[in-house]
Amino acid sequence: MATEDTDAPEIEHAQSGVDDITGGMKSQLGLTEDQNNLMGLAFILPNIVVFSIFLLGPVLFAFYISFQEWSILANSGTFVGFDNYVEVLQPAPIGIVDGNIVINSRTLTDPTENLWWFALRNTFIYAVGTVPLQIFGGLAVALMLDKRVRAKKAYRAAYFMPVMLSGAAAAVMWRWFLAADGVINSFLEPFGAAHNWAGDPATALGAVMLMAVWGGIGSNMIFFLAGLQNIPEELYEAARIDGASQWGRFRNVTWPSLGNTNFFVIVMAIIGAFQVFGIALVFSEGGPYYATTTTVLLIYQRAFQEGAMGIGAAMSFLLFILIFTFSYWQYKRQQSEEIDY
Amino acid sequence: MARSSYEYPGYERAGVTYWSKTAALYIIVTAGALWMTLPFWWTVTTAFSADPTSAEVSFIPAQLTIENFIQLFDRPDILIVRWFINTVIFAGAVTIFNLVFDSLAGYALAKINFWGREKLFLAFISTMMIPGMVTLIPVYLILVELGWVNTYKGLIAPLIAGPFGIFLLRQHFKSLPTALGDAAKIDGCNEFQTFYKIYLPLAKPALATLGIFTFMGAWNNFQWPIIIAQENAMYTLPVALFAVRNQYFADWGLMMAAALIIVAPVIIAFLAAQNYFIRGMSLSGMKG
Amino acid sequence: MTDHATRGTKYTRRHVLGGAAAASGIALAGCSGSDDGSDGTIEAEGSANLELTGWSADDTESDFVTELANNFDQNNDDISVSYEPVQAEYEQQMRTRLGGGEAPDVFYLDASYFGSFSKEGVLLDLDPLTEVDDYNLDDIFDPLLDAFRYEGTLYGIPKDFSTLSLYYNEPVLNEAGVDEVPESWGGLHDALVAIDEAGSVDAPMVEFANGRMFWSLLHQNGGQVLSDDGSEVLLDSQECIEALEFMIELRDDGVLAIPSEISVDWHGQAMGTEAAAMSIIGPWALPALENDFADVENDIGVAHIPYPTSGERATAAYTVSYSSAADTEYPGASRQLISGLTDDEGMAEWARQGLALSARESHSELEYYQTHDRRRTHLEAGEWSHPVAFGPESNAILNRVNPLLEGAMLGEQEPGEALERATRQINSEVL
Repeated sequence: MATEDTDAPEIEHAQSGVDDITGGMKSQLGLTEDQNNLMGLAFILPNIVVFSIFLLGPVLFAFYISFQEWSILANSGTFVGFDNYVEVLQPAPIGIVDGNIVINSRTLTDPTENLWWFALRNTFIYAVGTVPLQIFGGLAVALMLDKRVRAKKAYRAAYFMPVMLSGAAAAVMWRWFLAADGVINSFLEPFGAAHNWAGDPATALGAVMLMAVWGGIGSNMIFFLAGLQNIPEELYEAARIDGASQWGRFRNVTWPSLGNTNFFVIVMAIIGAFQVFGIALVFSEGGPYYATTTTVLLIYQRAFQEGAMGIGAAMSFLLFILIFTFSYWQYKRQQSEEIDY
Repeated sequence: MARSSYEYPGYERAGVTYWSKTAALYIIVTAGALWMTLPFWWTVTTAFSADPTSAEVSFIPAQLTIENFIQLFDRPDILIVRWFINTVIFAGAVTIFNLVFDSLAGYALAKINFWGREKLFLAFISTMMIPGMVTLIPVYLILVELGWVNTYKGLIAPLIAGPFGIFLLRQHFKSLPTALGDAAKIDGCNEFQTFYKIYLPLAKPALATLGIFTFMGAWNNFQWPIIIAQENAMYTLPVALFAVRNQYFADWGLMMAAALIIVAPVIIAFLAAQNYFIRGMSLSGMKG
Repeated sequence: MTDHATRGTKYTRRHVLGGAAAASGIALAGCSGSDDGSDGTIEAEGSANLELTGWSADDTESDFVTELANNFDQNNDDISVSYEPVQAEYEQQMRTRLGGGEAPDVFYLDASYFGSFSKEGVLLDLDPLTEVDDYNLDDIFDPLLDAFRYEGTLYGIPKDFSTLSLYYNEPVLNEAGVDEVPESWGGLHDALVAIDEAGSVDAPMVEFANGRMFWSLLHQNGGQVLSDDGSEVLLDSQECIEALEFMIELRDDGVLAIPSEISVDWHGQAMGTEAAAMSIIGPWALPALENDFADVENDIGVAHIPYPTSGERATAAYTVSYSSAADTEYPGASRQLISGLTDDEGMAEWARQGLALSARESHSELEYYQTHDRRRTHLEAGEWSHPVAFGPESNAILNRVNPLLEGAMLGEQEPGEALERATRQINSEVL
């Protein structure tokens, strides 16, 4: 398993020629002889241009705004340093008072204590509840629909249907289904399990999660299907010849070969889960009583409804740090497990 | 030669366990498929039914009518045809640009060794970790400066290089063996030819995936066009869902009719893309 | 955004042909602006192309405004008006456009977020309109004008308004032995209990989960939301807490339901389907009742909201202004357009559509209101109405209070505690 990390000077002999000229500086920067920089640049140029103007630029601008009290209307703001960040984070679940570690669990149970932490908690619960199901559900369906079932196209279309329906329409639909007098309750009525799913703070988030899983399996199915196409038939043959069982083939051929796809699916799932917004807004507007208020919904409220753009930007960057940490961990893990052949 | 990993030589004579497993498989897959599509069935019936009320559940509507669809075309404030055209241009252009630029970038990030490659990759996907709404304002301001507000240019330009596509294709190219490229280079191909002749054809499933997601994303996107468009004629189709909802309580029939019109092209695109989900990789000829 | 749902200027689609017919017969005789610069008129700057925008509750409204705009256009050679309603996310779009310098010349602004716009100095001052002859600015209800003032300057002219009133189903009341419409809180409570016992409706009264009627109740009891200088909220005062306690008492006694509990989406539907006997709602319910629930419509009466014996009459008002951008190219023409849209005749014509009320006091004398006494009741309440707009941070305040009201309505919070929490949060975070 070779690792691919082109930022570190790897091959000794390739360095000597380079270093002779620049006294070791080039290898410090990671420039090695076996790099094809011009080609790389050519391939990536259009993306870099658009990226810089429309992605990187705005992100840096947003970062700049997070240190200001900014008004969209006036298109200007006043510098406040870290005040925004402090305001968002305080009171915190864990703090140090007089040298002792103090735990303030109210921040996680009481939305009026600190809505940021409460929303983060909601988002976290949402992520834990939906991501594994979406990923494994998608994988399972992809495996099933990869080969063995007839009428594959129809089935795949069926599973992808929820993804194709726009989020707003889907959320409205589910709100109707889960209404106190809706379809689902009319089936549950005989069992005494009917409930006001959307209107009860205890179950509203669960309802949103259900909708998310319903809508998320299809996407992952497609990603996995694409990844599965890259696994050469011969590997399965070889495994079968060696007497591997179905599970064995999965574990030893399919799963490792899906490594690259897994990385993609996991990171995208995490990004998506932590940024959930549309369905929470349309389904229940963050209610009832903050039950479905997620981090991005909170950012929307603060930045757009209340005009506190600086706070919104600060929250966005805190969220970014969280997501990036996780993704980077996945990235490092992926790098160490890579197969290159 | 076995046709699939489940159809091994001799499977025709497989016993009960094989067929019961198959049956179980079909049941599970079908049950799941029903869960996925039943809500959609309600969308269809509501769109065609004469008097949908929220208190009624009708899986088979009592009265069928296409009134809702006619209404959509009649109402003067809903320019369905114009919006449809706008959305085709918007989604089509964004998809094509993305397919081209992202495959180039994804290949480079996966197979070309260049300085700063990994950091650049991380920078690209990092931008997906900021909620889009926060960058909305700066992008809008840039477009105002450029004078591209309320134009197709402004609608399309910010979306032509997507971290999503770059990420997807990088991963896909990474899972293809470098040996292929090496062989091609030995034969005298330059980097671009290697990309174009060897790797790109093998990336069909990923390109189809990117195509469908980008198309769908742009097609269903309403947050962005709403900000860019300053006049009714520049809106895209998803706005219809809101134009119809502009009442105290929703007219479900109209709304579901609009939802159907919006989703239909996506379904067609998806079915078309399915043709590219084929096994491209074969190791034969690489031994030794 | 839910602003619209709670504010309620949304009307059923199936609007009567009456609307379109009337719209085509508008004559805006009184709105020719002259640019001779003499006192009593507004100066315009030569030829102007104005952009007018707003949201459209439905095609009736957008048809009407288009007609108004066209008429103004015809009556004023130098000014052309193009009207382009926004379909969704109005507030966000206006903010973005104003910030980017791409705003239209004249636009709607809801009172609830008006404050956040005016404090940034992006609006054109409309004080010159006080001096225009025949325009009669004083005729407009004071509370409404005040809602659109900031630091003494006027930045918006109300285009219409709505108040909340008590809707009741007369036969159901009579059946339950309630012969007179209640006028006091105690009376309301007793009437609801009686209706509950008679059992002919699903719930005696219905209200949104965020307890919208609270904003009327607290003023009736003598409370106020903002302190006089606007530096803090006073929601934890005894008066406010009592008001909330009254509403929660109705909940606890089982006589006040939330829409999902009785299988409806809103009050109009509840009254129309006779799922509820009473509710507090605005005049936008009337078109819905008239069109969709015609058989019940005649049974529904409108009265002023009952107030506590130790308090005074009050109700909530919702209003929207026509405003203009401070950096518009045509300030004079914009002011002219605004005055044209809101002058005596223009407002009367809009009032006759029956969707919202005319903001002019003198219009209660209009024939229209003589024949539509339910709407007249709403109009009369304008005198003691309090716009649901709480200064520049109105949205922030509402965002923090509404969920707590919801919590109280759902039984998760005690009324006193809910208001105290809200007050603490707002005073420390927002103001």
